[in-house]
Amino acid sequence: MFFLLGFLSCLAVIQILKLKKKYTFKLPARLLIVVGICLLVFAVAWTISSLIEFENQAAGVGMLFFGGSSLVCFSIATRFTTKKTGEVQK
Amino acid sequence: MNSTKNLDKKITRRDAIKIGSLTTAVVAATAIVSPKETLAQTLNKSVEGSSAKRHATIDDIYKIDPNMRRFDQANTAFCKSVLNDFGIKPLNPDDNPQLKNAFMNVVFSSDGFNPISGLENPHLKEQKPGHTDLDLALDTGALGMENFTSSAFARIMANESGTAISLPDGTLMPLSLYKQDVPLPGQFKKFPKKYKFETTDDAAYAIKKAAKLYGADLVGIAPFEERWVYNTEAYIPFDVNGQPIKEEVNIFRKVEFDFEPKSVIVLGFEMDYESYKTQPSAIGAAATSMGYSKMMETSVRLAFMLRRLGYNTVHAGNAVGVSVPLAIQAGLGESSRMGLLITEEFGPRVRLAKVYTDLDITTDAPKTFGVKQFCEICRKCADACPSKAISKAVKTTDPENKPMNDCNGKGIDKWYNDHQKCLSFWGENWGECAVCISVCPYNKIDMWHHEAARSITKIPGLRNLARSFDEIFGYGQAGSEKLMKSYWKRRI
Ligand code: SF4
Ligand code: SF4
Repeated sequence: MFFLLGFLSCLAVIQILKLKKKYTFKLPARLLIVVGICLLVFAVAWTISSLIEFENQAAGVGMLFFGGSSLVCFSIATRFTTKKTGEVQK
Repeated sequence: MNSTKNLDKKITRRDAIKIGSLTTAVVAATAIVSPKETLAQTLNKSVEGSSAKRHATIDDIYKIDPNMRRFDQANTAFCKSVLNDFGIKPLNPDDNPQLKNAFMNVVFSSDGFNPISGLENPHLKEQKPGHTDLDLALDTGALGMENFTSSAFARIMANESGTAISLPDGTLMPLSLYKQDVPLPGQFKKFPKKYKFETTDDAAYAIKKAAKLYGADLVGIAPFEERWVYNTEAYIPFDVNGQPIKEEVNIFRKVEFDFEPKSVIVLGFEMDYESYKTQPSAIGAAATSMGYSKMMETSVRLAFMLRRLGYNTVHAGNAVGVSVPLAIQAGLGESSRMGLLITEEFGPRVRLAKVYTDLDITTDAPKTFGVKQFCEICRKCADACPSKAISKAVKTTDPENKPMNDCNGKGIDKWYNDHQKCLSFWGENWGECAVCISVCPYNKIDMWHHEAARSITKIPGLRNLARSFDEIFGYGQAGSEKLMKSYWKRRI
């Protein structure tokens, strides 16, 4: 499970870095993205752990609760994000 | 000069470092909350203590009347249920027949028939989930070992020579391993020369290491205190019909040691989490029965070891003295609303045994981790209890929290529960209940996310949330037929 979590978080960071080339993230957006990634990783970890111990309801509610909160973070983050316009002057 | 940055360029070294450090941070964070401990870590934890607050004695945590009367074993609900006709004050003036039947129904009726009352187990008859032949067989298998070699009640059930226990069908159980004075072959007798540990700390470490090897999940050392020894113990031999032999019953036998005990080694045994989720059922009872087996096996092994080292011992399951205060004093956990010990590791899902000895061992300090404060808010066990036996008083000091009957040990700051009502339900259920243990929010397995949830119970402002979250997340659904049915279908 911990391998999967590492893999997932790495994937998320790469994705963010890719997006960073197209978008400008203001400070609140950066903070919300970090919180969102943490919540997403926590949601996945919670869900897997709950399924391991056959607590299906806990798995579902965990995914809904923590995963949902991470989506909320990501969607609020978009409000503090602007699209980059082609070339950047130095 | 204008320079341009290409937007679709490849990830730079700087980016790679960023990714690496972020990933490391996440992995490190997950490692911090990693669930498993090595045995050495666990041992050290029990030697050095956990993050819980430590206290000098149990009296620093709970108010205990210095003139408290020691408890008589005959007043335990189980003894009362078989002693109704024995001249001791009957507990229940209305004489709930289920209470009277409880002992036979629970302990001796794996075939679903109580030869004394002539009643049949209705749940078994209709093969109700959790009470099917398969479920009862599971419990019989788990209980068999315990019954045939000891029984935690052996000191009350063994015949005078301590060599046999009569069963209702005429079978004689061969030997009670809890009986202290049975003739033992050479190497199990007390060794004439005493082994000297360099320090009492060394003795504690060795005893704890051995106890873990012998099967204990938790071990702590308490100083010997007479106040936690039964005032009198109930000696109740049974005849072939499972009826107490009237002429031999002695419920006021003084508990005496033929040596001067100095320390009490308190042993804790986890009961299976998955089986306990099905309570009140024979599947859950099987986990309890396994706990009883471990109590006997481990305590007798430790006693043999100590005797080989030249020390005197008395080992016991539920007999000789009360276990919960000893376990608290030995630093294994805290008392709770339901009256059972709550441990940090397994919550209330533990059984206890103890070994009294004259070996000097460094004792452990009692600890608290917020159980009492959480119990004041939670009350989940009281709400779920099928017999409404558990106190709903918010605080132990509330005027409505009074002793119910003789089954309650008095003079201690605790919640008073009606053990008679509780055992009546056991009789009705034709088996144990333990719903209170099953639903308790502390009853979780050792996994990182439960550790995280448990820490919420320590934060005053968030305690209210802890019980609600426990319910929303679907934990502790005792009595669920779905869980009882699915028990046998789940992969191992
Ligand atoms: S064992 Fe069952 S009946 Fe007894 S106190 Fe617990 S929940 Fe109530
Ligand atoms: S269920 Fe709640 S009130 Fe009852 S013992 Fe457990 S924590 Fe305390």
